[in-house]
Amino acid sequence: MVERGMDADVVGDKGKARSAGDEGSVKNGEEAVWAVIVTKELWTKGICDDDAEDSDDEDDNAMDIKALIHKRAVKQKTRSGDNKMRKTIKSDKKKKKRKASEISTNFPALQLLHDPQSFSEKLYDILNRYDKRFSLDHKILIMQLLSRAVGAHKLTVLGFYTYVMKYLTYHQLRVPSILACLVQSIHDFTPPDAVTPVIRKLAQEFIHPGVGSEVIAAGLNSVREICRRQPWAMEEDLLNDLIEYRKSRDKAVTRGARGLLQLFRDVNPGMLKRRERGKTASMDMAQGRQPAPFGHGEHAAVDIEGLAMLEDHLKALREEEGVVSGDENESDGWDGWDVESNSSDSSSDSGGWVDVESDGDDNIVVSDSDDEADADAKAAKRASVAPEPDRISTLATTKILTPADFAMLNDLRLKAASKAVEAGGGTSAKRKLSELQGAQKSSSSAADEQTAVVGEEDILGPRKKTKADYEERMASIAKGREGREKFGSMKGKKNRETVSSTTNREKKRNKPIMMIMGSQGVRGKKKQSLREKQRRLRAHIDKAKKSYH
Amino acid sequence: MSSKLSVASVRGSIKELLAESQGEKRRNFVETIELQIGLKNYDPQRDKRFSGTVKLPNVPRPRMSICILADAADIDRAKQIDLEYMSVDDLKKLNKNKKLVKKLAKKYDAFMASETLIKQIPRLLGPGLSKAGKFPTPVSHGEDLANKLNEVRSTIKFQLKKVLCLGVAVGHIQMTDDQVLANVMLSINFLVSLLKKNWQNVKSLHIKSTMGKPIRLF
Repeated sequence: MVERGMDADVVGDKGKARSAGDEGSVKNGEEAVWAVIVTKELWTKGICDDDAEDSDDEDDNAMDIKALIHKRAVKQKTRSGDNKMRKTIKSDKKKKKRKASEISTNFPALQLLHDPQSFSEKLYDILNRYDKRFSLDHKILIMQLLSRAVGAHKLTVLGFYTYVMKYLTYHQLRVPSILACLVQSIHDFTPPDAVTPVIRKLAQEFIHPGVGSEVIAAGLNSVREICRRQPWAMEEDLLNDLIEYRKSRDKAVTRGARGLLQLFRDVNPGMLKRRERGKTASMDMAQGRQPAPFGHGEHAAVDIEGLAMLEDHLKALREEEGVVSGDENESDGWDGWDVESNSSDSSSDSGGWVDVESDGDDNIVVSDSDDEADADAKAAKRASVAPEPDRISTLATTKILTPADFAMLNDLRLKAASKAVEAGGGTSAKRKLSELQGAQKSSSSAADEQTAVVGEEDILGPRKKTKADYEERMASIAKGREGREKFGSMKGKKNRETVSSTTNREKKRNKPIMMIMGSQGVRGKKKQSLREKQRRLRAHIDKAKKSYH
Repeated sequence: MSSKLSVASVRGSIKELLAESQGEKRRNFVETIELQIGLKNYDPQRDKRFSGTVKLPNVPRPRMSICILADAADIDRAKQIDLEYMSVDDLKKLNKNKKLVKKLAKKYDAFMASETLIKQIPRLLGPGLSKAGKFPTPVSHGEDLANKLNEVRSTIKFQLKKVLCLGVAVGHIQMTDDQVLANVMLSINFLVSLLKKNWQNVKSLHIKSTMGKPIRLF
């Protein structure tokens, strides 16, 4: 949005007011101004942003459509086939359009900022000081830049949150953009106590029965996006109130409220009422899983996700074949190492260099050979029981995983995820599965980018198409008429090269039958005798024969 | 992939490294063993800059200096185990002064903070700590401080910045080769699992002691 916004006309007298004051700084800043201008030019001409990544993807799509068109030409033509074709082409076009409007957040200029903190502090200062002087568009541009910088570098410009509060009213012009800015500026290191009043204000202004449903939806969506970044800013009572909106009759509102509910099921189900936690969340809570505390992005991993599954899998393979699959040359080198003999069948608790479970021994060289049988029995038992989720595999410390191993690991993860979905894991399981599938297919980190950029569309949510007014309707009718002849009678003039009136013969042919029925000619035909009929028929046949050549 | 990385060769390299640093060129301090990674086919501007933390089986840097930003109760606990601490008042004295915060961040290798305090840290110190990658790890009153200390010391972080190479400390030369090996292998495996195309993104792997020569693994 910042990138797009560069083209926008900025109306404000700030520049004038300043340049009159300090000449020296202008001279100094001349180079900087040129740098900005050049960068802007480069950007608009598309030299800065390289679309290399998308190119092969697009080619693929184009090929697909071409193949479809060819198929359509070759195969049997059916109406349903036509419809399908039309649909795919339409969806493809939509996709392309969306891709074109996507903006990459990794905009290098933001990443390359020298001192982002003081930069954004200055920006905020300007914004705050010249608040009256800037036009709204200008202010929004600055806010966008500021919020992007804050989000990208995880800065703390706490004044911004109080500043932006005064713009958080539903009748504020361009409030969706302002909301988007607000959301972007929040990240996981934003102090929750700075964000809480903002959320409260949002709820008061946007989410109450006195405003339109689209306002409520925008409010809910922005609260959800804020909480996605900083869940600790939410208050329990408020959350439970907001969630009640999922029973609304407007689709956008329900969707926003459900999104909020789902988010807190994932992030901090403890804040929800018991009956709203959902199955997986309450199961997790029953197991004593706590949400990560503030500032604790993620727990340090103790091993690679799904490695225990890989270990089981390899073990199973080995039991089947009696040999190590794939890496014989590696296992040669392992002979002298005593860990190796156990590593294949050591269970997790004997490998315990991390005392997650009960035993606290800290050494890596594990399990004397005498309890090997014991370990085997344990392993067999474990194979029959479902694998514990938090088991720690020793594989990562005893073996260097080969590319084949990683491929297998991926497959196993996928399998496990799809199993979880089948077992009714809920939306989070589904999301995980689709993420895994997406990671296999495409390279771009869609999820990451999604969280980084917030557009107006994200705030507004899905909107019902409003009823067209008279002008719009007339315009669409006129558009439909373009390039076709007027409907109506094709009689007479229109079909001929030279315009003329209808001939008597045409008139006769098109005369309504009821007017003919009673006429002398027709009635006479009906009343004629059999002999007369035959005579006429004979004459007709003769005449036809003669006229044939 | 140019070659295969086998455990035996890694083991050999580690032995070589340890022998060299403990031989005639022995220094007057405990050298750290570092794993250096070069990446390829990765565009840090476009692709996701991955980051991941992993807890190693053996503490790679026992002498890592840690400071706890503590509330009253944690100050007492910190005093008991001779852990350096700073109270809220100390932090307030920094007054969000960027230079002072930077100095603080430089002084210690890692930070911990009481859980009650952690929410105030961005407010008190600004983004200085998180920028240095040293945002404190929260400690609750229930946790054993010494254990937590150990955990922090044995946790390493892979974070890709603007350049395509990164280095992490995975051990020191007073560890046995088995311990170093376990650490090195876990770090390699974990790093490779973080990469988008796994081994296809790895250009080179080196291990190096502080004063020694780098030894190429891959």
